[in-house]
Amino acid sequence: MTKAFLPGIILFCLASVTVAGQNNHAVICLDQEVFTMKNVSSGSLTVKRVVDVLDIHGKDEAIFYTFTDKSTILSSFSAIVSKDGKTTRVGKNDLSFVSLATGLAEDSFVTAYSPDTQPPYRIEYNYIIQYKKGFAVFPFYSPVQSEKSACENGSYTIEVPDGTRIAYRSNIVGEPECTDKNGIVSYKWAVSAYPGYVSEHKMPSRLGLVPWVQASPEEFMFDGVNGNQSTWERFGQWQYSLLEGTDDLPEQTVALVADLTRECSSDTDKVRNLYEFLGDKTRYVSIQFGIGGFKPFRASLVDKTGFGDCKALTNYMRCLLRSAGIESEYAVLNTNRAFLDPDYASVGQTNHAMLCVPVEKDTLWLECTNPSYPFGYRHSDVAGHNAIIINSDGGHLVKVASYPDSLSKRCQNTTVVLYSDGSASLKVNKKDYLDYSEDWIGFSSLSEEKKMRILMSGADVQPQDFSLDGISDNFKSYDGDPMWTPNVSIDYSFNVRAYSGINGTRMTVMLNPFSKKMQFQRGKRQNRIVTAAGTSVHDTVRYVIPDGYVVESLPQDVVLDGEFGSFESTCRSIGNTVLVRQTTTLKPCDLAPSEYDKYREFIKTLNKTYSSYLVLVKSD
Amino acid sequence: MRDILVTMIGLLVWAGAYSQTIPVNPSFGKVSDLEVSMKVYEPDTTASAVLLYGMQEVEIGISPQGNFARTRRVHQRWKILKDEGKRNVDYEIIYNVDENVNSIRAVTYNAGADGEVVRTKMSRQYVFDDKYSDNYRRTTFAPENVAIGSVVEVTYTVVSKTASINDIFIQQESPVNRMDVIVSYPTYFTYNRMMRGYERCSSTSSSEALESFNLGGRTYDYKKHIDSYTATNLPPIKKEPYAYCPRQYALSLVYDIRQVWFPWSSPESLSNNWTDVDRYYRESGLMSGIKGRFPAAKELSPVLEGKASPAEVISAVRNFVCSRVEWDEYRSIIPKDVHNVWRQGKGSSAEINVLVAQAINSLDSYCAEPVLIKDRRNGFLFDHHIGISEFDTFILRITAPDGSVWYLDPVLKDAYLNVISPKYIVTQGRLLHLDGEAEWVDLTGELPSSAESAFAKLSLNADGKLSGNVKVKYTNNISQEIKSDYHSFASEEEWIEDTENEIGLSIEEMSISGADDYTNSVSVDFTLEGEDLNSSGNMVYLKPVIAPFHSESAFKDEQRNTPVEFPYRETLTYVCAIDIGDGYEVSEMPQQIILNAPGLGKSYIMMQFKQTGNVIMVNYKYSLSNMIVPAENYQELRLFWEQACVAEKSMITLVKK
Repeated sequence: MTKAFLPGIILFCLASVTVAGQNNHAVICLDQEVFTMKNVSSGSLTVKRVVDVLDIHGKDEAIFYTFTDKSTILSSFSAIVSKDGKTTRVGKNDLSFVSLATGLAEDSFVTAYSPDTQPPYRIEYNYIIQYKKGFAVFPFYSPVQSEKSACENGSYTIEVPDGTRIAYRSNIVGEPECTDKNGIVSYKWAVSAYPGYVSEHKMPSRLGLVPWVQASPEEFMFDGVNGNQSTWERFGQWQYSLLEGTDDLPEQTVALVADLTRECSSDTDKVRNLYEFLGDKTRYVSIQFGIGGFKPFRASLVDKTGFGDCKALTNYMRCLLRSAGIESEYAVLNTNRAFLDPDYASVGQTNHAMLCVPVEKDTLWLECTNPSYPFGYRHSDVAGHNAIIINSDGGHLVKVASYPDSLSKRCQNTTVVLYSDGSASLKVNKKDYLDYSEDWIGFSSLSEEKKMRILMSGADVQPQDFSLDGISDNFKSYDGDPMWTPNVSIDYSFNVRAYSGINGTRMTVMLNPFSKKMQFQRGKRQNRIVTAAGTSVHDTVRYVIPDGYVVESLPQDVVLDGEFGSFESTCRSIGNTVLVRQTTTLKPCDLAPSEYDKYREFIKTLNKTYSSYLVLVKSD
Repeated sequence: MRDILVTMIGLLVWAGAYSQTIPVNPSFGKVSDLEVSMKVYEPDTTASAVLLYGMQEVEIGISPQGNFARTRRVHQRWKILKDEGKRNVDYEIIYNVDENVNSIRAVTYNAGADGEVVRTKMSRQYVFDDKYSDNYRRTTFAPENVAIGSVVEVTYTVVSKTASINDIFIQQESPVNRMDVIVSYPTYFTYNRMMRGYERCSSTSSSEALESFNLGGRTYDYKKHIDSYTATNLPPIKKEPYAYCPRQYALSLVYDIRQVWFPWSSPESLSNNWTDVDRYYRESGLMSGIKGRFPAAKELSPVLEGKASPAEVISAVRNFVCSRVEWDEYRSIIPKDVHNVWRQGKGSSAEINVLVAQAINSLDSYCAEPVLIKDRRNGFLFDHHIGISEFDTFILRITAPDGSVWYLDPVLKDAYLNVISPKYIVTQGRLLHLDGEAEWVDLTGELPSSAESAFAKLSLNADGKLSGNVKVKYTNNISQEIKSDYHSFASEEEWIEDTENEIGLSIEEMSISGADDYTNSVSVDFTLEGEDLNSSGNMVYLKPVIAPFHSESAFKDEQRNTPVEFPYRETLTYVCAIDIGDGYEVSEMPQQIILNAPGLGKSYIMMQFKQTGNVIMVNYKYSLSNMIVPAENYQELRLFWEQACVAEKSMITLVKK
């Protein structure tokens, strides 16, 4: 083929995109990936990918990146960029290599290439990644990376030696076509004419909208360690085997544990004391090489160094508790995704370890990585998430208990004393409950200036004489009740020089100094409207009117109620005060796109109400 | 302001230099019981960690074989006061592949059960070194047994094959009890030295005994020059908003090589004065490139056909070059072979600038010259701190046959003549004339102010609802920002949606004109239909500035230590004609506002109201004439800003007839 034909091909592709009718930014003309499993310890992924980038917003689809480590190697790479009949060849020397390590030591790198050509252009990639020292899962297949990218032709083939059992799950692509030839079994998934998706706020998980395949061998080897992951139970057996031999707590620490728990009257108190000890003694330091990504350090090592990652610290806490006579269970979960498929078990679906401790009336989930989380509290990254409890029987899929949405709330009481020159003095009491209280962990360690900026972040005023008058929490008062929740109360005050607008004899006063306006979209809704968890915000503002002024105008009361939430705003004049109450409640929902018109009107009315104001007028 | 910011080294003697709050013995391992037992750092009780003692020793040396090496020895002694403070002792050193990190030692000191001090030495197994990227490596280490109350002492050394001394930061993000710095170098080198920041330290200079090295079988002796600095009781670095380069306000030392003079050669002056710097750039290929032949001179004639004014001519040349050479997003000063770049169709800012300059210079009586710029994000440029590394990029200054002068940054998208990126609008750009002369140019004064001019035509219907049309014209830098913002959206609908959310109004229709034109302006029109107004009985309250231009949350800090830096000078005009019809009459007009701010130059605010028949005219003007407001004028700026917000919230009271 001569270069002269290339623009024609691009035009052909562009035409086909127009048929798709999505105004897409990019088209994946071809994404063909073949993983060939040679044996349990080695394999290779061969990729051919052709992308037409139609405009600047489609650039992400043209970026090549692959994650490598010491046993995953990019063995060959080439790319051709075609634009206006000219082609540019790209080789391995053009790739950038960057460590992904954020902790002390991690064997994780990304190799990447990003074309600096202005769209429209075509890019074609051909590359091979070799896997050595085993692999627990096959490479994740997901040809579409970003919104408004169509995929015309994609396929994923996994070739395994005859007799190799694999498990898989997928989205949009359907069941694979299976063939068995010359001792090689092939599973092939196909993607055709995928039109792309649109990013919108409150949309469903992206993973529910794009084609993907996730697959893994039931019998696997990772970094020289064999395992079976046909079920979560078998996965748990493998994980449990990695814990073996790591519980070597030194004798002097065992003695210290005895000292720390001697006076305790209950198991809960013992756990509490040892959790505090963990916080005092350790810090989070991530060291992850190979199987070290799954196998915790020995307890003696954490004891000696005072640091470890989530696995190491969880295991250390497990050993502390065991030496106090309390059995606990090591658990793994995913902090970014609540759901773990009971029918598809595999290594790598979890990203975090915690400790599950059954006590008198409750099951404690200890966040050993960050013991500053309140004891007895299941924080927002884990509450309601599936977890795999690991014990000698294997793995057990459970759900970390969540809290009712009604407990997640933010309340603010503000008293505003208005003065006739437009200035005002404000006193604020802010109370945050459940997940909102997490924002205040570590707050007291901040400088006064940062504290002020955080507390004033929602207010459109210039503060004078800011004073943080008090902060209290119940973080250390867990009482054994499974529904115990943390809360924080903060008092602060400040003055504002130009709070009210003076307009001759009238004074305009904003209804709520801490406006909580929300975003909405103008265009036609494409996706379902999804709110995962409910919450509520309650504001009370009490205005004290200056002498010589009376209320001339109060905004009308507003009451809205819908499937996505409710909003109520009332305003009452009582003597020389005006009392404003505003409550916004968002409900968990999963609604059809057609409901968005109602949602938009809801937000518009809510925003309008937050923008409204009181009018005071001189009484004489 | 510069007098406050910068003081030349050697003039300073501070009597309190050694009066640190916590007395320390600087020797490694000499940690006192007081250091271990202290619970809070009195000068800053919120601190999560304090650097009890820090030492940075930078030594430029010559090996016996005559090779240069920079050895940077770091010694830090931290006191951990809160849990968050533990992060200070998780070390990560990113270094060039040509460098070497060694001599790492870390010891943690904790109070034992019986009050004794327990030492824990870090094991070598917790020191990691790995490839970080194509040109860098990464060394990490974590001292052991770190808890609240621990004292952690660390040393390490970084050796580099260079004679340049990078910026040395004395002030840190945590408070510093005491920091010593020693800089030593052979007297073959001379450095320009500068101390930056508001805090102060003491300094002394001395010379040391002879050392020697061998080159070509001959032994050369040399003396060492030694500068010593000590700072105590430093507060943590404060990061304030509206600052392009917050780090320049931290106490730090800057060394730039001025001259190299070896016994076997004549002195090589790199930056004794700005003329040396000019010469370096003249000889670097920049000026020869600019004076060079434009590779497509024959193609220029059709491009310039019908173009009469200098602005048309310069724009046509710029657009021609940029249509043929794509910018690779890199900024540089020294161009590569521009003829090759022209053939390849892709190049850096330096090459595109040079090509534009060549094309301009090929025209009769036009003259394009480079203006070297220090990016505002890298701090201020100072007359007395001379160095070739003081510049980051260059733009073009073009003199037309009619004598008009134009500044051009050809690669900046959505811009125009005299519209350059705010990060390059500096008080001192170095203009290199083609005839060999050079001078400073103040771009903050020479470039035009940016403007936003809005005209709203609104009417109130019988139901007290507001409708109308708003036309806004943006000029110069604001135009570039509006165009760029518009182009960042994938669709016009998303752009309107974003605007709607930002101004809090329901926009009926909205359009933009000129977004793709190479001009210094862009216009936006939008219409409102049936906006509800606050009302009470017969009264209707109308705020004529339908979407405020300023937010009161901009300057929340009550005090300020560093200057406020605005991106550019700005003028805002809002004219609004409101037809209240026959159904309403004015009950009360707001007060007129006229405010000047002497501390902000010619900045002013003006708000006027006038009624003619059924039409109320509102005339609002805001002008910010100073790009940099010194910290001492911060209160005046805050008040000025506040008054702009007050003016924009003015309310007219109408009553139904």
